[in-house]
Amino acid sequence: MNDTALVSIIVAGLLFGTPLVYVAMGELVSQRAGVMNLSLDGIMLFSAVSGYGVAAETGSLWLALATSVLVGASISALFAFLSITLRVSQILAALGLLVFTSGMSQYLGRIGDEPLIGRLSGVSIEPYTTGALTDIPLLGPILFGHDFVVYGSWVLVALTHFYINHTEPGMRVRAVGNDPASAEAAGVRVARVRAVHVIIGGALAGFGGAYYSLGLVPIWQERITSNAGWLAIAIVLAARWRPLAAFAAAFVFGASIRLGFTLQVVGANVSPELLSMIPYVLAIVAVLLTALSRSRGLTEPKALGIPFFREQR
Amino acid sequence: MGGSSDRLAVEMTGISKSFFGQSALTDVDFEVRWGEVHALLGENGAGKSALCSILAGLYRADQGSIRIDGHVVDFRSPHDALNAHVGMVYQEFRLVNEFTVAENVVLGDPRLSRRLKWSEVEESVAEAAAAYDIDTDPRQLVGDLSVGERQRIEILKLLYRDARVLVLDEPTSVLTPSEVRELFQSMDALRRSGRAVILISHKINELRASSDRVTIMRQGRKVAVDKLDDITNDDLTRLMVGRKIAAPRTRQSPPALDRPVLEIRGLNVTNQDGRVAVDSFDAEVHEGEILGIAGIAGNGQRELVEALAGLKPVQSGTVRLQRPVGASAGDSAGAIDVTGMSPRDLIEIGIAHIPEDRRAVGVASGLDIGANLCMKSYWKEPLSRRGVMSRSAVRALEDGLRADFDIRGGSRNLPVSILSGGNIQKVILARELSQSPAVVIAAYPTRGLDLGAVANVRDILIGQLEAGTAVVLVSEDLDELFIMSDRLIVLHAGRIMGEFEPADYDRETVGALMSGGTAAGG
Amino acid sequence: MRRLVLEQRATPSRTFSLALPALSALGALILGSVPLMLIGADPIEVYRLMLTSAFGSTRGITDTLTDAMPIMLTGLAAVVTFRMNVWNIGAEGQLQIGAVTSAGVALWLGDGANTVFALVAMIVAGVLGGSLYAGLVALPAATWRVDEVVLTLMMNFLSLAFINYLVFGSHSPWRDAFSISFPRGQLIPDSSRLPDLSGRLNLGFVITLAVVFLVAWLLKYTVWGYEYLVVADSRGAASFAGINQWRMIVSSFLLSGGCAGLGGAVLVGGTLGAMEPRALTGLGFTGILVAALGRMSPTGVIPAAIVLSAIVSSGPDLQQIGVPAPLTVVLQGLILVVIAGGEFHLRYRLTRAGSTAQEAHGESAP
Repeated sequence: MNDTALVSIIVAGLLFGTPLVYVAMGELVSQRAGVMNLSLDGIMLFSAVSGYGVAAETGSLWLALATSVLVGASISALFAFLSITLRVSQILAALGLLVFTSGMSQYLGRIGDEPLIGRLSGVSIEPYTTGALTDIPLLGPILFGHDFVVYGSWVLVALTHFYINHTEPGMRVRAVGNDPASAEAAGVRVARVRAVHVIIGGALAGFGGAYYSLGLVPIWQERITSNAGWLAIAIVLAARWRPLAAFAAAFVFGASIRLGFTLQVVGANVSPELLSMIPYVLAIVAVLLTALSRSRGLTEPKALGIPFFREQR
Repeated sequence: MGGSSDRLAVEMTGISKSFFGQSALTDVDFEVRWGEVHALLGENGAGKSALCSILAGLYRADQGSIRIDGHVVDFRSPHDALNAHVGMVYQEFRLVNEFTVAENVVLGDPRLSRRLKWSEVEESVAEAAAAYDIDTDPRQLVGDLSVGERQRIEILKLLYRDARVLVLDEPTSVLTPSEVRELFQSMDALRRSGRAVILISHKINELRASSDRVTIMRQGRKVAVDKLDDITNDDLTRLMVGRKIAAPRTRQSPPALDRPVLEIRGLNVTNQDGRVAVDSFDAEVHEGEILGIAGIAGNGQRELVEALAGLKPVQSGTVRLQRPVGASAGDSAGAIDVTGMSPRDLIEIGIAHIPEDRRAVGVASGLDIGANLCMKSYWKEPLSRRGVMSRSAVRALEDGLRADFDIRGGSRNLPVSILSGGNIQKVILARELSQSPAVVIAAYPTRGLDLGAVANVRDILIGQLEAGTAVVLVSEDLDELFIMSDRLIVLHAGRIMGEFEPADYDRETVGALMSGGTAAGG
Repeated sequence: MRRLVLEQRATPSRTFSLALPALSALGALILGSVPLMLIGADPIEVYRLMLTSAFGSTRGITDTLTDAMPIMLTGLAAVVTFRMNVWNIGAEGQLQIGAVTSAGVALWLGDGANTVFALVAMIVAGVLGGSLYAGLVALPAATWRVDEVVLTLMMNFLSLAFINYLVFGSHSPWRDAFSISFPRGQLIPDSSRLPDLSGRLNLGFVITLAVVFLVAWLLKYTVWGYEYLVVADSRGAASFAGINQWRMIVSSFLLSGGCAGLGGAVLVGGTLGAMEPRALTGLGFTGILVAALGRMSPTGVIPAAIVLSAIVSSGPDLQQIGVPAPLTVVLQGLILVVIAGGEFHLRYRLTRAGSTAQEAHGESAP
């Protein structure tokens, strides 16, 4: 394999890893607070189609992105209500919302006189032009010539890491995810902390979803996220809830999504159906390996998935 | 501190609270003055913890009002209570084990800046610890601390948050006698600083050593309040219990000390972190004998019990059963090595186990009484045949044991969880003892039960001795151990510190050994 | 005035438990009218169409029952693990692999085989295929406590890619080269086809019902079922009673995968006659809805699957009156959301603070 192929895999990893970073960071803060949101893929799809619809109707990129974020936050607010206030099983509530949102994404894409499916919005996130910098061998195409979402994802990772480990609200998140009863006795409002971070997680997933329909592939097609929401959950698990590790994992997965495509371009004679398995095989291996490595689980939210009810006896 | 002395620190009026439609507190009035240590005395289930949990904002009262330093408050959460300078040290500590001491102390403090500089936080915690004379390393993980250290961190946490009303829920139950003395000294210091301290306890001699006044509760109601100097121990007991408790039944026949049933030799067990929990434990239990195991919680009792029940692997050492079920009494030929046997095999050869956590381990709380009663025999006829359960046999078993062990409440197809603690314990006893075990390992069998149920459980265990069963009784209640045991072993840090015959039972001596000291006067 | 407080029920409300599925289906239909009004459709009209197309004619009824078959089995697969708090959401993949193994055996046996033998072989192959595929997750999940949700999900994506490969792959021997407009695998020989009962409804439906009742019997009347219930209720009590939890987790996974795999076999051997990737997707997730709507009871999946089948299979009819078919997916999601919300009411209730409604409480020991 030559350098160009290598660079193109790395760049593909960056591009396709970027939405994964947003979703994974969202899921990471939500899981660190003790709530597992399995509806991410649906939220992303719903946000992607909503953003695309707004872009097609108004021509405004910013309005489109805001819509996506808002949709993601609203659906996850509903999830927070079900799982935190009503203490419904997190898995069942999330699966219900997952099916609902993915259904809605397909439904909304097909209605109207001019359905969104197959209609060009004319709006997309443009990369920065950096002129000669992009021509630097190897590093040029890797570091330069991307859009603000790519650079934003790098900042987001640093912020998440700092937030979780070095801020007071971040400490509350860790406490709530680990031991809600103790956190509450120390005066932390468990339900509020959880709800806020579930909603933040949903907003980030919404933004990540929007990056597909407005950035990566600026058209609307059903299942546009190609299971990114699920890969994000595997990433969080494999990274053992650590933002920096999740960042690295997101790019490996991003590259793996495009690896099949790249291999075909360079002429490898493997069936595309089998190549499409690569990210999932990778996810399984990563999850198995991290589960087997017995590191002291200080970053693991012990109360993950368990509803908290104070007067339970 | 806390305003003029004529204002009360705490004034709770007409507090009522029910759980599951069951009344826990009825119209309780409770007052605490600034600068006093106020004891709250009552049996298990009398409502002491519930009352204080309401004061600390953990629960909300159904009815009634609370004033703190004269101001009406309405706490919706511990957050509100802490802001009003009211804090509580819970019986099961509320510390995040994966956090450092410093993180635990500052968690939830609204005065913290949003951005944390850990060195500064650790320094301020170290300063506070020094100011209150508490010895700690802010960087240590709380999970690595001893129970006594954790309790001091809980108190430090409250003082760091400037709590002026401090509630301590049964703080001495996990402490050694010397740690108890230290605790009482720091409570005295808090009193002298003008704070109000509430001590929840059911041990009368502790109150005498520490408190100014006492409020006595019984069955969810306040029955009396008085200065400790003005009330006798007999009156305290009478007010707390409300009825005469019959003396425990005396033993009919002495244990057969020439016939050992269970022999434990050089047993070593590690805890979940891989540290030594039980260290070269040697003991034997004889037919019709109760062997008491005394010790402060967390000194290896749990690991010992779990190893004997097959729930935890044994590192080294042997456990031999001299009279497995099936062999006749006195037949010494049938001795077998049971070390490391599976729980199922141990059940089969007659080692019964009354577990410490009766609701989460002792029963499957969502299943009905019948299903719980057959849990140790369902694989055998007549309860099942060729893999198919016999519902009529299960029903017959339930009806029989219900009558034999006087299990009250509940009904078919209703979860066992709706029974009272005493009746759940009877379900467990019925199941374990109906198998005619050779050995019964009972861990804290009366903990948290009301006095009537306590007497019941003790009678059932003693009754079992007539059949030649050997009983290992683990408890942290010295009174219970002294009443029940034919011999007593004291455990500290996983090691046997001493062995006693009934004639030598002495609270001071045993207490000293429990805390790792040497026998007094020796 | 007394505050309203949330109180945990000692035992779940029985009447509400029975009414909940119907109420949540109703709730979902009401909520589902919002997207319908978005396109100016009359919800009542749409729902009436769905009802008549599903139950209005003999053909409609047999079609509904036929389509209920696979989701009844994936629903059963979900019940068998979910009850134990093990989250096998891989019924989708297990069904697909069951379809692959049963189609494989049918194709391998070829035309000349004895019909009874061929049918049995095909069905056993489907069950084993699904079961073994679930076993691949069961082992790490039970042995090292690896998160089974993520694993089973990823396995779904793998199996989908695999059947796509078998059907579309240029080198695949299973490809039906003659079917161009309608991608599917090779038709299986007639000797392996399940005989029809009425319309599209075939013998598979009888087998499905038999399996549902068999699983219900296993749970309720056998030693395995008793151990299952103890583990489901309390892991602590289970190890105390000497029940091998590893064995219970693995066996429930295998049973679950077997049910889903049977779903693949009855599709390939009955309704489809070949592997058809599009007809083999989405059934696992619908199965989760079936399980929830059936209140996690093995026999509850029968009515639940029929109701959901009526919704799912109305897609083409909706399309005819200008309502996009994904509306059926929206409705499914809403049903699960509403039913999950309703669970809350089973376990908690709002009461006036301090009203001591007496329930069946045990007395304190005397």
